[in-house]
Parts: sequence; structure tokens; C-alpha cells
Amino acid sequence: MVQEAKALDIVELVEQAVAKHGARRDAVIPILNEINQAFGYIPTAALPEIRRRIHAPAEGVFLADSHLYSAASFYQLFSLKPLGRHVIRFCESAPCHVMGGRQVIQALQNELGLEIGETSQDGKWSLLTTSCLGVCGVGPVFLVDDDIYGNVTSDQVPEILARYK
Amino acid sequence: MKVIRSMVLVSVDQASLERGAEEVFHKFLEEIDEFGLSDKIAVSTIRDVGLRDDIPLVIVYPDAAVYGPVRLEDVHTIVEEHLYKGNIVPHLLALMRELAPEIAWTRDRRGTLPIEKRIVLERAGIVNPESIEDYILNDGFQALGKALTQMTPAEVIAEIDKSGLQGRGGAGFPTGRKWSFVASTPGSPKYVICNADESEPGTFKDRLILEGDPFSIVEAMTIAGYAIGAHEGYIYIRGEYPRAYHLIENAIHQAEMLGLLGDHIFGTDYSFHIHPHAGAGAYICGEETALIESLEGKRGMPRPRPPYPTTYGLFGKPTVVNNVETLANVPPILRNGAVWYREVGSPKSTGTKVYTILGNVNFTGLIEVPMGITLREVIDIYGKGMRNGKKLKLVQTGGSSGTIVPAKLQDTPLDFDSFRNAGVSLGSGALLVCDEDTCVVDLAKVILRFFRNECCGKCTPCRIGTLRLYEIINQISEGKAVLSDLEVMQNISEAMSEVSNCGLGQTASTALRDILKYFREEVEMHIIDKVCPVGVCPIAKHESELMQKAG
Amino acid sequence: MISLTINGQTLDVPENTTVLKAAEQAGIVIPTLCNHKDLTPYGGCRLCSVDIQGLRLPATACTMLVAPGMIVRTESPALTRYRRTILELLLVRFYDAGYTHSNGSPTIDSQFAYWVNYYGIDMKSTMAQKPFRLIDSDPNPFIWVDKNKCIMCTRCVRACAEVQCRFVWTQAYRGYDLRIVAGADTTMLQARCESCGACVAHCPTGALDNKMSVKLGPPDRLVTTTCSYCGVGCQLDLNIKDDVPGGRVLRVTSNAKAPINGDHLCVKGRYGYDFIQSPNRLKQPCVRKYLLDGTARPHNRGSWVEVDWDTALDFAARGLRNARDQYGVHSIGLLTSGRCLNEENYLMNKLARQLLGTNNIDCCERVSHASVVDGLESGLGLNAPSNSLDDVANEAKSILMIGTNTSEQHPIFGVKLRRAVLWRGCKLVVAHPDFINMSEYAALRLVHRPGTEAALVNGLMHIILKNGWEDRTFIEKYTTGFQDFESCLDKFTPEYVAQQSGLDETSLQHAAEILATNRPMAIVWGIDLANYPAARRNVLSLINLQLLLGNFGVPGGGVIPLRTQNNTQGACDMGGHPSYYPGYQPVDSDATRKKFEAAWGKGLPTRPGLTATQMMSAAAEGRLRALFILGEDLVAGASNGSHIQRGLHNCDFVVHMAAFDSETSRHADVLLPGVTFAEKTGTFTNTERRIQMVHQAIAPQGNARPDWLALTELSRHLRRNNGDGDYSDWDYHDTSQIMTEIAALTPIYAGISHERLEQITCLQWPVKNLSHPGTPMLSMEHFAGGRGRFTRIEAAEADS
Repeated sequence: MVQEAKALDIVELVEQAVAKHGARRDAVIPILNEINQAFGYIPTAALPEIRRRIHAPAEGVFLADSHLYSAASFYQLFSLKPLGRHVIRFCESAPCHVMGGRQVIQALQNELGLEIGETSQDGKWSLLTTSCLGVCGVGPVFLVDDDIYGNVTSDQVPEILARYK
Repeated sequence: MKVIRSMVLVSVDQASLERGAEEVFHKFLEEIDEFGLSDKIAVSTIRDVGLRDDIPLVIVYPDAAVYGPVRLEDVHTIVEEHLYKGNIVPHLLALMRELAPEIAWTRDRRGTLPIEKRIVLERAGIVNPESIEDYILNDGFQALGKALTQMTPAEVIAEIDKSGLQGRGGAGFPTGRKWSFVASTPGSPKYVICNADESEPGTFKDRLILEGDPFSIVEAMTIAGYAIGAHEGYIYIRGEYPRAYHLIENAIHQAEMLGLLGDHIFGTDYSFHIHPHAGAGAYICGEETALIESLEGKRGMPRPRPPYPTTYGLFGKPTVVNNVETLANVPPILRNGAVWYREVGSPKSTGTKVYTILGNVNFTGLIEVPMGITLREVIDIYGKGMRNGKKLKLVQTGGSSGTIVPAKLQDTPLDFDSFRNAGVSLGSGALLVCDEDTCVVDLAKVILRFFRNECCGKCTPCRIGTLRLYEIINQISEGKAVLSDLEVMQNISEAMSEVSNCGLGQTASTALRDILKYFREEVEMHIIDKVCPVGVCPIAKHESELMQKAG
Repeated sequence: MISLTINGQTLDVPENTTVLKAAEQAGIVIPTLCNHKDLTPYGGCRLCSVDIQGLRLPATACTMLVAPGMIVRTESPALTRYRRTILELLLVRFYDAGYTHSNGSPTIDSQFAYWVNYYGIDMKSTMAQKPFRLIDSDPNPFIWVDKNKCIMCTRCVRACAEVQCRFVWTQAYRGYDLRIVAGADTTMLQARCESCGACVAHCPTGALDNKMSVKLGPPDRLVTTTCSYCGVGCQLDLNIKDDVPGGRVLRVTSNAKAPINGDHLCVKGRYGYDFIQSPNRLKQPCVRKYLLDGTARPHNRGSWVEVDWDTALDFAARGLRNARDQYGVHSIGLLTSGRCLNEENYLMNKLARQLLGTNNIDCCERVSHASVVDGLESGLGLNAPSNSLDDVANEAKSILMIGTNTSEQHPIFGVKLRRAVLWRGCKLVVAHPDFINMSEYAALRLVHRPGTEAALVNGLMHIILKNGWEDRTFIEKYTTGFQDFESCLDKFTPEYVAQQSGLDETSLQHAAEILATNRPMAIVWGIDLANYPAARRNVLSLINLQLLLGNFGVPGGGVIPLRTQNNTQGACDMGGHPSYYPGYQPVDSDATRKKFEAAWGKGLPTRPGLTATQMMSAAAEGRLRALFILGEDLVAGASNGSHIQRGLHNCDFVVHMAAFDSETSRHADVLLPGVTFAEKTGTFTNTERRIQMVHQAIAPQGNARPDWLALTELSRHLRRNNGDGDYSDWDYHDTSQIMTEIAALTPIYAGISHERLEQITCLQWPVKNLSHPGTPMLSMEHFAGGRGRFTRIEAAEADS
């Protein structure tokens, strides 16, 4: 099962993130980032918590939940729904593709039985794509959580996946 | 003259040391000496290789071969086979697995080649990116010191202007002019932004500068701030580069500790603060006005222009936005003078350019070469020729938004002017080399999918144009398109490049346009004959049918 | 001015004009979708791309500013091609399910459809072939959402943010997946939507529509009129369908040309129109059965019997006459209505004074508003706000809002103030015991104990004097009584006021600083101040504060009492007042009285009459025997309802004219069915003294009659002999005739006529003659004696 964030944790985390980055409109992205990092996604319940701490009409800062949702949904590294325990981000950019990425993503899909953007029933895997990770010298490339795999071929896929519990 | 041909890195993290890394290191020195290679090959250490079980690791440059675990008795073989004879030893190579951040970047940064001319990558891989002392020992902060103590802001701008430095983000706008615009625009405060949102697929030069020489960006931003009269700077680093972020954060901290950043820099009245900012995954934020919106905590959607950031930038104030590579040129120019800089490159495009060579060549990686060399040179000399002896079909220059250069145009010099004349974009410096096994429809599909996913959605031609083009190219690759679809594509592509709001929409269909220009026949075969000549597309490759038709 | 050339035509336009607006001035139409005159340019649809000489690529006319010597070409074969492609692309993600949508204009379906058609594209065959999103996807009761028709122009997003300042709509996700969502992808109401419908009014495709009338089709005609909900005086278009005799209201739409509100309305104005055709309307005159039987009045007045108008009016006249004959003229009272037309209120005043011979006339709303009105008269000598709504919204650097829940009671003005805060940094200090919506926009919120307003204001003045923030020059030149007044502030030290009001001293200091150092400062109050104990004293304190800071006679300053009803101001202006003839001409002035006696051909009473409150007491005590109540529910509208009920209950004879049955009509003997604003023509005067036309849109419901007509007819039943003045007759065929009479007798309305109002919508009294432009701001010379009067306010403790 996919784990959802708990209300108390959310408040505490927002508190910390706002303290760290400042209760400012231009701190919104770093704050969202902290939350996304901590929970693996941004729970909607976090948005009013952030809004409450930054909204300051006296200083001309007017923030609504819609502003935050709008920003949170824009960026690819943010997720608005819980993801699996392990998140695979496959680079689907042209350089990796030309160097054999097409076969690798097919192998990943077959191995996991997931379409791109899906999370497995047991909550173990999410299969996402990403734009260029900037390690094209060793393409095709994918990330499993924070681990980068480069020069991958399709027959290495099962072996790599097997490393994750 | 002593020329270092290769470099050997031995991992010396705690775990490696426990498994005899020290001995391996000394063994390499002995063996290299035995073969008389001491003048040509350097041996050094690398500390952070991540948690792995195949240690000690040995990495050999320029080939970036990773061996591991290397036992004492393997050293002789590696030196003899690889360093002496030049053949990689496959059975000793480390198994392919996750690359720790250190390895990931050092693997990309291949060794120095004879014709390479290093200005911006001068220190990358040589100095310790986490040590300000190391940076200072290698001429660091000399330029800033000179600027603050011997030059007026106007003189700094004049020197940059005289150097002919052009923006390396793609558009090639003269940096000196941009600075003088902002310096002379009324309004305060003013801001310096370093655009480190390097997102063009196939480009990682900025990452290597940030990770290899982070202090130079801190120094350059401070110089820019001094020149334009700003006291705050932001560096927007894409979220996919956590290590670069960490190193920059560290560089800022160390510079502040030594009074080289912050209040009263070098004991002068000048103060400058730099705030690092991590992006969150959006290609469009490389566009400067989108980047500014994103810095302000909003969606990264480009603003209408004019007004330009030089008059209406961050928080509505005059702002200089410079790319990482552009800024990296600034300290060397101030240190060595504009005259020195102009001697490198071609008269109209001065200095060097960092390229990334990718795709179906024998060597993929990063080079810094003077402006004006040709594609053929890049492929044959730096790329060490086509992989597996295949024929060159095309090169995409400047990343996914760049142009397609067919093999017949490979003698065009790589500089801003020649490229502009040939209708080719130099852009980010990514050179994606594709061999004869590449299907142009398949390539277009990947590129169009990328733009469909990365379009911000603000303007109609781009939002629905990228969607429609991707749909149609898919139909072509499935053999379900009709010829008139090409006309539809051309109409959409034209509207996109003419009336989109920003560079993304204007260039998203560049590759498609060029493919239809140079490879129309191949595309039409998918439509008329329902055949993919290369055999990549999901239509069955009916060779017999094809032959029947030809016959 | 900047000179540029568009399509060969050279023209001069002001700096910072967009190319689009410049072209408009030259009569050149450039197609647009995402642009709207009320909203910040967006540059998203790209339809308005034009060629500008010297630029590599076309530029969007909506965002590009003109530059000297600019040469623009708005049409070319290439531009036409791009525009066609853009529209075709939009249609790829557009699906029209074919239901009739609600739109003010009967000829064009939508702006989008217009351009699609203009460029020769067939919408049906080009658009998506099936819906890709849920039609009617939001449960908002007023706003219909069909995202199949959304073209991402973001006009709704910008309208909600920039016009309503609510930020309900937003863009979410990106690229091909871009969509407009409410809040954090919730329902509109969860995203704190106020259902003002601004997004609907600004939508160019019908993706957002009016839910109640979405399938009702286009109207046969539009009637522009003035809203009847509050004192702001918005104008709107009643959409009329003529498929029933007299027509019916299909819906309300906003009118971009409306002087106060433009394309903006509040939820009440836009969606609260069903009362007009409510089945609960009174449609037939009624009298109590005892009257028909000729028997004595039962305790509860007995049952109702429907009768014809003549019978009802006859009983009404007889009842009033009987009271006068038996108990004298002072036993009759008349209450006018802030809901009714100026012309009707004028007739009430004429009925009382000319036909019945009494000054016992007052405005219904005064029952709850009396003390405020008195305070204004006493401090300024004028029962009127000093400045205009827009003036405050556009010019004030700070605003003290006290005793008003503006965004509920005067929504459009509330929104204007929100805009002042958000878009130009105006500092708002909200003093209210409750957490009201405006507090969200406040720089400082003061939660004081109800009843300590005067202490609070005195405390602020104490701090102001301590810091030398007062305007000495103004005080010297334009005020009286300062010497005497000053000492009354001595005891209102911050400590003392804090203890009284429950506020902390820091807040008081902060409030004083904001208000005194951000001038001009305006004070806005409303009905909640009137409902506080000792409202008169509060008003005087607030006037003291403005005199102290010299905030009169400057744009963005002054005092703005917000009138609850759409025509409270007009009802008072029209002599609905025991002491004044129309235009605040005192009844105890011989010259004035003689003027009216000559005009009406009749001797008039000399002494001021009873106020509404006094009438109720008099009725309860049996001194007042007959009441004529126009227009409204006295009981429900007042804070002291039981007092009124007692008065009404005791009164021998009560005539009530209203559109609906109510608590008040339970106490009536004769009930006359009146009409709503949609069924009559005349004028309203809004809270900023602006006189505006009301236009009849449909025939009166059932057997109801406009009040002015009923009053005219009642006069025939009352009149015994014609006088011989110029205006002694009651032969009114329409309300414009009545307005001519008002103008002749009322100097502040002298320049008003219906004919003129049809042309100019921004006439604010005083309007001295037919060529006078009106007076948006009252300067000191308009006040009594040219000076404002300081009044000592001593009391501090909360009154009971």
C-alpha cells in the first residue's frame, strides 16, 4: 500500500521548512521541495499550512491555496500523490534514446508491468520519466531513488531492480 | 614539454583503504615507472565513490574506464594492457551499477586532448571543488580583487565589452552590453541571476563547471554585481543537480568566511550576497523570464517581452541574467585582459566553446575548443570517429531545440556567425551524432514528446501545437498518416516558430522542420509505403513489399 | 503622446498604450481572445500577433507597448495563416455539447465562435468529436463549468484575482495537460468562491456560464438598469424574453459600460433576481374584512379580502382622513422607503405635507440609521458622504473601516477596497468585533469591545496629538471648536483606552500611525456602526478624527457612510425627513416653506414632525393613529423590532404598500401590491450621491402597480380641492414629470432630468443646473458655514 503522510507530521514539517527558508513568497518552491523530499510527495493538506504562514496582506503578500497548488503541479520533481517506495525516473531525452534508451524503457515496463506514470499495486515501484539528468555521456540513464545507473542495457534491468527490497 | 596523456584515480575512501587501496596506489606508481610512463601518466586519488562492494576502484582517464575491485596483482595487467598498449581490460572492469555523484561527473569529464583550449574548464577536475584554498592557489579571486581594488564598475564593463564575450546560453547576446544596460537603467535594487537551469537534453557543461569549479561562479557573479551595482545575486540550479547545489552552497559559505563574499568584500565598501535556489524540474525555467517567475515562487511561465529583465526582472527590478558558462569566462578575462581573450576563437566569436559530444561516436563527453572548428573535426578528432564504423546520418546541434545538420553540411564551422548564416543553432553546445541506424521519424517523435511534456502551456501554438505534432508523428511512425498531414505539420510548425511567446515554442519544431527539409523522402516512405527503412518504427518492415514496389 | 503608424494610418496615443488599444482608437480591429480591457494583458492566445517593422518575429498587440515611429501591420497573408492555425489548434481541444448557453448577446454565440467563423473555419467539423471532460463539473449553484470549452485564455483566473481579489481559479499542471482548477483542485465553493460570476462575465467561450439560465437561450432584449440590492448602485442588464405578456426576466448580465461596476457584479446582483417573478409576490390589493363589513377592528385585524385597486385606495384614503379628522394632522405618520424610487419618495413627501398637512414623515431605514444621520448633520451640517467610492478606492493611502462588513453588505465596494489593498498598497485598518472577510486584507485588525468605538477613536486622536500628526493649518482654516474639544481627549491615554476597548496599546499606536501617516485617509462605516449603542457619538468622533487630520476636501479622504439600501440616500434627499423638504431645505425656514406653499398651492405645517422612532413611540402611546408605510418590512429591517411591533400593533390604521407579504403587513389594514425595480422607471441615488436611471423591463406582476402610480391615484381619493400653485396638481403620467418637479424645487437636484440621465450616468449632487457636471467630492464650502465642527465626546464606557 502507498503510504500517506500524517497530519501532525505535515504541520511540523511545514513549520520547519518555513523557518528554514523564510515566510516569503519567493521561498515557496524550496518549501514545497522540502515537503516533497520528506514525504515523497506534497500532501494537499500541506498547502493551507504553508499559505497560513506566508500570507501577509499588510506586506502586500497575498497567497491563496490556488497559488500553491498551481506552483506545486507545475514542476516535474514534485508529486501531488503518494508514490511507491522506490521511484524510477527514466531519462527519455533524445541522447539517451539514440544510445539505446528505447529498449531499456521497454524492459523496465515489462519487468515491472507498469505503464509510465503508474505506481505498482503493492506500493513498491513508481515508474516515471524525467527530462535530461545531465549525465548524457553515459546514456541511457535512469535513476532509482537517488542512485544513477548509466550505460544501461535492457538485459541489466532485472539485475538492477533486484537490488531493491 | 611534459604532456600528461592519462590519469589514474584510485579510490581512497575508508572502505577502500581497508581493502588495500594504499598498496594499490603505490603499486601503480611503481608499475608506471617500470614502463617508463612516469612523465606521461599521473596517479591521483578520489575520495568519494559511494557505497559499493567492488572497491578499491581505479578509474583511468581519458577513457573513463572504471576497474574494480582492483587487487594488487591486477595492477600490472592494467598498466601493461591499458596504459602501455592502450587496450581496456574488460575482465577487470567494474560491473555496471549505480554511479555515486562523484563518479557520475568525473566519468563525463574526459581527459585533456591536445587541441583543447581550456578557459572555463581550466580548473575543473584539477582543483578540489570543496576547497577555497585550492581555488585561491589556482588564481582564484584574483579577478575579483583586481576589479574591486583597481577598477571602476564602468571599467569592468568596458573590459568585458572589449573581450567580445557573447552569452553562452544560446542566443549569443554580447555580455558587456547587457551589463551596461542594467548598470544604466534607473531603479534599485538590482539583481544578478546566474542561470544554472541547464536543461537542454544532451547538455551538461554547466554542471561540470558548477561541480568542478564552483568558486569561479561565485567570483564571477560578484564581479557582475559590482559592475552593475547590485548587492544581491541568485543562482538558480536545476533540481536534478543536487551535487552542484551542495557545492555552490559550500562555495558561498567558504567565500563568506574569508570575506570574499558578503559585506565589505576585500575590505572595500562593496557588499554582495548570493542565494542559491534549487529548481524543481522544468525545462522552461531555463528561459530567463520563466526562471525569474520561478524564483519569485510561482509557476515558471515566461512573461511577455518586452519588457526585458534588464529593465523589469526579478521582483520587477533591473536584472542581469547570465548563463553559467558565460560567467565562467568573466574571471579569466579580467585576469588576463580582453586582448588575451580575443586571441582565442574567431574574430566575431571570441573565446572558447564547451561542447558535449553524444550519440553514436566512439567518444562521448565534453570538450572545450576554440570557436570556429567544424563538425567533421569534432566527430573525427574528438569523437574518435563513428561507433562500429557506421556512417554519419545527421547531427543535432544545440540540444533538442536545435537544428538538424545532415552529413553533407558537416564542414560548417561551429561559431555563432557561420551557424546563423547556415540557419543552424549552436545553442547549448550539445552535439548529438546519429548514425545510419537512426530513423528520422523516431528521432522526431522523441524530440516532439519532450516538448509536449515540457511546454508550459501558456500560448496556444506551443501548447496544442506540440501535442498535435506528437500525435501526427506517432501516426506516421505507425503507418497511419496521410500525406496531407505533412502540410498540417508544416502549418503548425510555422505558427509555432513565428508567434509563440518564448524560445521553447519558437524552436520546438526546429528539428521536425529540418527533418522534413532534408529527409522528407524517408518520412514519406512511412506514409506512402507504410515502411520504416531503418526498421525502428512500429510498422513492420516489409522488405519484400518494399522491393516489389521498387522493382 | 507617441506617434505611430498602423496599417498606413498615423496616429498619436498616450505613452504606455498597447498596440491593441492604439489600433482600437484608429478603428482597426485585431482579433483577440485572452485579452480583456479589465485585465492585465496575458499574451497567451497569440491571436493578436501583428507585424512590427524591425522585429524578427510578430509581436502580440495586447502586450506590446507603442514606441515612437513604430510601424505596425495588423493584416498579412502570413498573419491570417497563423491566426487560422491558432484557432484550429484551439478547436482540437474544444468540444461543444450543443446545449444552448447563456449569453447576453442574441447574435453572437461567443467571442471564440465569432473568430472561428470569421476565419472561415467550420466549428462543428473541426472541433473534438467527443467530450474529454465532464460537462457541468462543479456543484456551484450559480456557475456552470464545462471545461470542454476551455481554451486556457485565463481570463477567469485573472478576473477572479484582479477583479474580485479571490484567487479561486488557477492554472494547474502544464503544457498539454494544463487545466484551470479551483483552489487546490477542489470545488469552487471549497476554494472560497463568492459566486460573483466575474469569471462567467469574462469567459470568451461559454466554458463558464450562468447555471440557472444555461439552457434558456438568448433574450429578446436587454434592459440596462440600476441594481436594487445595496447603496453602491451597480448597473446591470436585465435579459428579457417576451414569450409571455409583459415579458419575463431570463437572467441578469453585467454591462461593461456600467459606470461603477463595469463587467463586475456581486452574487446578489447577478444571481439574486428570482424574487422579481416569485410566486410569493403580492398581486392583488387586499383590505381587512372588518373594513368591508363596516364593523369594529378586531384585535388581530381579522382576515384579508382581495379587492380591486379603487376599493383598496378608497379605504386607505378614508382611514387616513378619519385619523386626521378625529385626532388632528399630527396623528398621521408616513414612512418612506430606501427601496423605492426618488420620484416615489418625493410623492410621499408631497402627500404628507401638501395633502395631509403633516411633517410626520421619515425614511424607514432611519429607524436603525437615525443616530448616524443625526451625527452627520450635526458635525458636517450635511447628511451625505463627502467623497466618491472610486475616489476612496483609487486615492486613499489608508482607510479606517469601522462598523461595516463591506464585502457582505456592499460587495462591489468591498472588492474595490480589496483591489486598493492588493494592487496599490493601500493600508487598511479594520475595526470590527467579528472576523469579517475584509480583515483578511487588513494591515491591522482591531477587535474592540462593541460600544467602545468613541473611546477607540478618541484614543487614536490622543496619540495623534501626542505625535504632532494633526493638520494645524486645516484645523485653523476649516474647523470650529478645536480649543474646546482638545481637552476632552486628555483622559483617553493609550492605557485607558486599551483597558476600555480590550485592545492592546501597541495596536492602538500602530493604528494611529498607519492612519495618520498614510494620508489621505478615508473613513468608511456602515450599518454595524449604526447598530452599536450610541452611534451618533461614534459618527461625531469619526468626524472629529477627519477634521483633526485635515482629511476633508481631498480626494481619497473624507467620510463614507455606507447606506444599507439602494436608495436610502435618495429617500432622505427627497424629503423623507421630518425636518426637511427635498434637498435638505429646512421646514422651519419661512423662505423655504413659502417657496413650497407657492409651488404646491397649499399652506404647509411649520414645525418639524416626528422621526420614525418617535412615531413608533407615539403609536405605542396612542398619539399616532394612522401610518402609511411604503415599500418595506419595517420589523425585519430594524434592530429594535419589538418596539416597532408594539407601535404597529397599537396603531389604529396601517396602510402598507410592498411587493411581498411580511411581518409588517401582518399589522396592516390595507395592503397595496407594489412592484420591484424591474417593473418601473425612475431614479435611485446611491450612497455616493450619484443619481442613476432605473428602467422598467417587464410589466408589473399580476395586478401590482408601481408605487408612484398608486400614490398618484391615492391622491385623487384624498384630495378635496385643487390648490393653485405650479405644482399643486398630481397629474403624473410618468416619473420623468415628477423629476422635473423635483428639479424645480430642489437646488441640489436642479440639474437632474431623466433625459439628461439617459446620456450621463455620473451625476452626483449637488447638480446646480442642467449644464452643471455634478459634484463627485464635497469640499469644505459645501458644509454648513464652510467649516466642520469639533464636538466634545466625553463618554468612554460601553453604553448599554
